[in-house]
Amino acid sequence: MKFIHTADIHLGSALNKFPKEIADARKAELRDTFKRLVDYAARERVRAVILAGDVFDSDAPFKKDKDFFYSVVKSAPQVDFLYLRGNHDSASVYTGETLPNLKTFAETWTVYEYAEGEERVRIAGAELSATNATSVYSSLDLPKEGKNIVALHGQIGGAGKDGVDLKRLRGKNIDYLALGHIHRPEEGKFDDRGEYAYCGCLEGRGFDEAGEHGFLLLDTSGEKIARTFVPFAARTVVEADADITGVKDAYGAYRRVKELVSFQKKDIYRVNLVGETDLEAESYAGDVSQYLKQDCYFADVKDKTVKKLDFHAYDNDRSLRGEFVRQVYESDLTEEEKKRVVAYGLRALEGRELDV
Amino acid sequence: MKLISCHIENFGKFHREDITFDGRLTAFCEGNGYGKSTLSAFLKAMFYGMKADRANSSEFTDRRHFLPFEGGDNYGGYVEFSSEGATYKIERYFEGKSGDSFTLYRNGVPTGSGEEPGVQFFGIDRDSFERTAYLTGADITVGATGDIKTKLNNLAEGIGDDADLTDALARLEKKAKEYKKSKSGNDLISKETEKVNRLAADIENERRIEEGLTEKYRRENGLAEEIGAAEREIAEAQSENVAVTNWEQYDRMLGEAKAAEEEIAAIQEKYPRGLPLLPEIEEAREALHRGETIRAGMGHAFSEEDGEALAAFRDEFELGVPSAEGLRAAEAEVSAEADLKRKLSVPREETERERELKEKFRSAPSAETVDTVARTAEEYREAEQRYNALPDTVAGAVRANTGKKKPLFMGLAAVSVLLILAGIALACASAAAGAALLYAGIAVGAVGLLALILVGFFYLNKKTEAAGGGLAVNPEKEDMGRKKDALYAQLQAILLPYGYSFESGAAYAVKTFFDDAEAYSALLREARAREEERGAAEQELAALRKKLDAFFNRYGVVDETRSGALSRLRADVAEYASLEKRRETAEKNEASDRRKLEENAGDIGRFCEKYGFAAEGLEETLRAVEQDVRTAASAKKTRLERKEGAEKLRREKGLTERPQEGARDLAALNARLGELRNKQAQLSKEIGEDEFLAEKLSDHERDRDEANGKLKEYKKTYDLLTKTVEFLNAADSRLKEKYIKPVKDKFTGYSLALERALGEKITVDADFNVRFLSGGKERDEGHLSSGQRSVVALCFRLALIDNMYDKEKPFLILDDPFASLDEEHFNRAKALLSDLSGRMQIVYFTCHPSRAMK
Repeated sequence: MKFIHTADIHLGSALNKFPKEIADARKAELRDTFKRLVDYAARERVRAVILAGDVFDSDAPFKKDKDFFYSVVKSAPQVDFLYLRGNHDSASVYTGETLPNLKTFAETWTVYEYAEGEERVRIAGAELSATNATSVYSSLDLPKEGKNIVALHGQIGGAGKDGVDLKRLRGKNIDYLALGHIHRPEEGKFDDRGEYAYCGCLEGRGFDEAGEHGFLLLDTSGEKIARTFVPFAARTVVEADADITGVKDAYGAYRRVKELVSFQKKDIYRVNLVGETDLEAESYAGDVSQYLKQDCYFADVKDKTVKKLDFHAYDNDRSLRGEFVRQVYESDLTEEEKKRVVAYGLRALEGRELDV
Repeated sequence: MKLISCHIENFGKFHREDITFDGRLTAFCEGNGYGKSTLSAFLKAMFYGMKADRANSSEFTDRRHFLPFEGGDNYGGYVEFSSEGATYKIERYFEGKSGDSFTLYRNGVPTGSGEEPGVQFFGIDRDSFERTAYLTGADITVGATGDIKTKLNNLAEGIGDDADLTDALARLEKKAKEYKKSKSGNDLISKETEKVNRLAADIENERRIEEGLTEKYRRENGLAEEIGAAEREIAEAQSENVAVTNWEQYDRMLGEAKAAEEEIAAIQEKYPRGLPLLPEIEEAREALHRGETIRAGMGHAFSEEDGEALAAFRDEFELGVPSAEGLRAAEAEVSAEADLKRKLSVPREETERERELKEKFRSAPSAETVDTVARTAEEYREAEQRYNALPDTVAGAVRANTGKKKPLFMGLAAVSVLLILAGIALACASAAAGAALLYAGIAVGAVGLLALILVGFFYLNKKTEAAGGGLAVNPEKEDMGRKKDALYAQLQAILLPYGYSFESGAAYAVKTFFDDAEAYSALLREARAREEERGAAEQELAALRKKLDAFFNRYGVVDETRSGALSRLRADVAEYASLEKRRETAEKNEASDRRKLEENAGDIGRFCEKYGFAAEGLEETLRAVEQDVRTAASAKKTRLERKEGAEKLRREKGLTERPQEGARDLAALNARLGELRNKQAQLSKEIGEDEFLAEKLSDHERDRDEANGKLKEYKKTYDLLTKTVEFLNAADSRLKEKYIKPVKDKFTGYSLALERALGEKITVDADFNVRFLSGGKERDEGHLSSGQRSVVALCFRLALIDNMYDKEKPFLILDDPFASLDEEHFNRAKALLSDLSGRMQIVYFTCHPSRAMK
């Protein structure tokens, strides 16, 4: 039998780390990716989709987001959706529809069984809360025969309702621990029999969620539960640094970025310009961002360069300029502030425009 | 520090040039192009190196400027100098755009120092050195209204005269105002603050809306539950109503069954002896009808009228009844009579051809005439053939022809006369034979006359021709021609009266005549045949009439038309036969009817006895009884059906327990459901609108964070700009404090030399206002000549230099500084210079011998 392990979809997420028009487009892509996942499940005859928490982004998701979720679930009546609420959607108020293929969990263990021929798979889940965070483990009792999957939402080693205590899950006849909460794929083993995995979130929602995203496809037909990561996100978020030391103009900076970073037209990038630039040089971030429009879906360019300024080069400058630089250097401004003040002062003394 | 010597290996125009310096004043008086600037630059380059040449830079740097004219390796050289008791040598070479290698020797030993010797020894950087240690005339020239103080400041500040500190400060303050203005609020910080505040208000509103959504979701959930409950209630009510309806139907069925029972009972009560069966009723009715029928038939099978009619027919057919065959024959004869009448009544129409022929021939041309025409035509044809075959002329045969032709002409004449006579004869015969002969006679006579005239004409004509002699007309041909013409005339005489034209020739006319004559003869024959036929038909008709009259008269049948009479006769025959038959039958049936009547009466009596009915009015009774029987049967059926139906309904619908209450008001329930749904729709719409607004919250929060970030940045930038102004002012004050103020003290050291040079005592106050004592009074510097002021400025500069150089005093390179001084001031400056060279080494250049230091 086949199952899908996914989590942290965060429907209704504001995605406000992107500019508005990108955020709006990404919201639609997020919904579409979930819809595509359900279509995939139906097509591949997946028995159930394990939603290990944070299907919605908010404690009180919007009705329209829930209605969307229900309509997608309704569209695949032959697939079960095992919905474990996470820390983000725990206090949902709008209850919406009762669907026969949408099965939920509670604070006590709920087990759903699936059988095909000789094969038996049990999927157990419990929603962690402040009141059951430590007690829930002791009430988990799964038989040895068959295959057992447990779904939980929380951080391994964390505390309270957002923590999953792996030690207390050992020896519980668990073959696979389907976890949610961490937004990048992770996996490991926790006892002789059981392995755990975070499937990661379905789509990167900001630059802190860079890398490949998708879901885990579980196959229980073998001796062990085999899992395959299926990359499924519409776009990949990438963060990269580009050292532009020595570059003299914006286009040179762009070319340097292109040399150092590989771009795909469909993906989203955060490019950090690092290295040293001349004191009087303007920021290249805006221009590079503009140039990169043709190379990718969206690029956010941050200027993290350090201005080149050797204060000591002015030690022997007996002019106003030298005196000014020394004054600034001796002040208690931060390093960056000193460089800026020096840049302003020198430009002003040179009669140049102050493009701050 | 004192320069000792320098060796220029390759630098500008210098190539392996060695120069030795005096410890005090080394003067060069060389023409333009000697290389004074080159030497100055070399010395600077040895101490400070040269700036690298940048790619794509158009700046004419020293490195480029002083590339060796003669090329080759070793672009550079060395300089030797003494400092603090030690002898140093800086050996330096330049390569390419930025290559620079130097070695500093101290007392002949490389020091390994990487620090620029200039910085190491003078404690100032290259630009400061350039600005101070290298003086041209412009550096010390002060205009009439120039301000020594300003010059001093600029020198100290290290900026040009064009862009001073004031300008820089103004620029900074202007920039700062973009970020923050004191009043108008039209600055970046104010605008961003306003934006932040506006966003904060929006966010607050959207938060409230978002918070309100929780309650609305609860209400939505509540409504959904209410709607669910209402729907269930409606389903329940519908189910209950169905049950009620079923029970009602059950009750109705039982009620109908009971009513039917009662009806049956009522009917049965009416018939104490029981209800007759329908077949019995029917039989009784039939017996009644049978009796009536028999009775009706008995008196009416053969009525009196029938008897009278039969007697009349017997009279009619006293002589015998016509047989069917006779009637058929009569019918055929009637039809034949009609046909003959019709035939004889329709006149025959003449055809056009018949009318034409009749017009031509009043009567048929006689056989004689036809023969004459045939013969004449043949003769004419032969004559024409012969005529055509003969030649027109012969030689010397003129007279004989006339004689030979004479009998011919005589013959023709005779024929003409005969024709005339024949015509007359025919005309005379016409009175007895008809007009046709008259016309024929006229025609023949006319032809004869015409022929005679023609004969005479031709005869006379030939005679005339004969009198001519020589090659003349062929007489035989002439004769033939005359003959031909005569024949032609004959034909014309016969045919023209018939209207035949000779335009197409005699042959055509003759042929046409023969054709027409034949046709006309045929016409006459046909007319005669028709006449005969008609006569026969009339005879036949007369015979038929007679026969038919006799036939019908025998039976006395009179009618306007034969067919009518025949029809009447037929009808009479049939009626007569029928009446006869009926009479026979009536006689036979009477006995039987009587018997049947008795039997019938017996049946009816038994029936009435059985059920207690009166025989009188039995028909009516039977109708009523039948009605009751049917009603009872129907009621029984109804009773059975209703009972069975009710049982089936009870079984099928499971009617075990009767509902306590009646049907529920579905309309009210549906109305309530509708109201709930409306509320739900309205709430859903509100939720949608609220979510739309609440969704903007995150965007506004992001915008607010961005705005806050910008605001912070703006404030920081403003702060830094303000600090920059402060720092610049502070630096300026400090600089002046450090270098300018002490100049006054240092200046004192030069004032004596100045007094000697200028002959005036120069003073300077705390604000660097230069004054001099003249005639016991303190006068403003403006009273000094420009030359004097230049010298004063030189001393101030030297005093400044003294302050600026922390360590070793540099040598001073003066590049023709006194070119603009007059003779008197130059001499004073020269004296001053000589004095000054005791304090620092001076290298003096001039290209004017008048300005040489002797």
